[in-house]
Amino acid sequence: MTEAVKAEEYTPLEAAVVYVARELKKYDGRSVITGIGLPVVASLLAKRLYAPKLKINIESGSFDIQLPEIPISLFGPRISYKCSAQLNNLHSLAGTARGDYDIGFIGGAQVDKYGNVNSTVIGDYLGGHKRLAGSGGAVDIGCFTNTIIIMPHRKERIVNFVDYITTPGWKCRKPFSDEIVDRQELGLPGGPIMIVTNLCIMRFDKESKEAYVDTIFPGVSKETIISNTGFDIDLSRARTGEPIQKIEIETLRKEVDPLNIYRLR
Amino acid sequence: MSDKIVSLEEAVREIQNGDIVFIGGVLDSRVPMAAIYEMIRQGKKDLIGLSILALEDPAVGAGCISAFIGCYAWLGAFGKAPCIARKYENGELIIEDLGHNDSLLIYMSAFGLSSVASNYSIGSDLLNLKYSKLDKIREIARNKEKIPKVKYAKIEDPFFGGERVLLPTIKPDVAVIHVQQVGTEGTCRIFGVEGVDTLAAFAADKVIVTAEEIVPEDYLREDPNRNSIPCTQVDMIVEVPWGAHPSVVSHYYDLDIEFIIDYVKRASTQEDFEEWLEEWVFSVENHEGYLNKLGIERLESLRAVKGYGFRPRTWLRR
Repeated sequence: MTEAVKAEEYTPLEAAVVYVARELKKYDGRSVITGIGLPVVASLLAKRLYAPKLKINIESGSFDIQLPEIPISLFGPRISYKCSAQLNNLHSLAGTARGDYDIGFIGGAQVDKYGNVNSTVIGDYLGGHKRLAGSGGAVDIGCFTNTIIIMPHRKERIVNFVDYITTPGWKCRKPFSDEIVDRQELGLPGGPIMIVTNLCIMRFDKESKEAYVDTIFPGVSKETIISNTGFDIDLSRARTGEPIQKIEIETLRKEVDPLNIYRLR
Repeated sequence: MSDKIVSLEEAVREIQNGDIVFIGGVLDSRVPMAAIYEMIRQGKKDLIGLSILALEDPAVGAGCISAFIGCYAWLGAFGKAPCIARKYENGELIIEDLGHNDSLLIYMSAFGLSSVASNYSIGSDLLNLKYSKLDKIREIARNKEKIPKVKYAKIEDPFFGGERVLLPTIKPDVAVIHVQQVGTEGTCRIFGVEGVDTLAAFAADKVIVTAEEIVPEDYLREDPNRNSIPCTQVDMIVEVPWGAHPSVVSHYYDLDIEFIIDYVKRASTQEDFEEWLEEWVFSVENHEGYLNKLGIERLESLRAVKGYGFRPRTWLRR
């Protein structure tokens, strides 16, 4: 079964999805809370290949969803189709505070070296800025849950410090102040465990709480990562990822997203 | 027949300028679009939206909604909401940012609570009061006392120790909710994702329900556990088939993806948006005109398939 595919035969986004799916192997039988896009595709791929008992939950109040086909709407009938129970949004999203989810996924416009994520404004909130989507459920997930952050690898998106902390990482905002404090000081459980981009996987140093490159996707150079990262990134621990397998790409393309809804390829 | 049953025009007349309005459904699912188009026709002003602002975008572009307290103002998979982005940039839309849970916990006013302790934004700039816009939102609100004096407050927890964050609740002046089935007395049955429509219906002073179909009360009362909103909470009922198009309505019809993509493209400048508005809202005069313009072929292509609740993408495709 093991047959490696060359890097030119898949796209960087497909690689990201495969590496996230592999990460979910250790969560078989556990619960994740996820959103639309790459996380849902990766969770489905994981369910097919690595974690058949993975429970996928969505902030739409939908528990243990089945996803008969890739959804476009986070709140539509493809999500509630044959899920265990369809309740209200609070029921599922409050599960973060209950500690119900072992992993949560978040995206955004910026992530910094401490894993803080910004999905609110780019620029100065009180001055010139560009407005983004807003938190959605990101802050609710990131406050309490171990998260996987998904972000395109570009200098302006993988930054030294975010313009606005929508979702707290390892060094975040003390409530009602401008002060930056360690996450532990605020008594928050969870925290970001990895950042997945189209080039690599970053994890966080236990001491400094800063992101370092853990896995480089096959065919990607260290120089590409350095020139696309907005801070001085530690590559000393970087290793090249296990090659992508034929079965992973085939399952992704033929079974998980045959219509290429999320334009991974 | 109950006297709650009215026309869409009559129902929307109940909404007053400066009202805090809960608009039901979520993002692109079960959004009361027919009611939103009617708000535009009636030229509503200074409405304050709550929780999520997405397919309500034309109501922002037309100047009906000028403030928003919530967690998300975007079109999901369709990207930036063109009118929301433009009006915000021009200073014609004020946004107070919350997280998702907090943007729903504000409806705990449904249970008579004036605030709740919430830890859902700790560590985030959402808890940084210098960014709060509530004072500006209060200026346009009709019922100014309904807008909290501050966004959050810090308290010592006398019960379990430590610090807590208090979130004030909000009581919407009116809730406009689109459901699949409503009984002649107002009992509502929702299929699929509920959002927090039930909670909001209990929180709001006045509840307007638009529905795909009005059915006999007895039909819904055979299985009362399946009902989402009791008739006692509902003030006005309007039958509006396809009344959430282009959003998706579980078990009835699918998302009109092409319509939304076309809208996003055409609403990218105010001038082009006004042309779109003329074509799809003003010139069609009412909901029947809108449906006639969409045409039976288009509507049928969206119809949900029984047993799925949606239209599988490969369904009957040759």
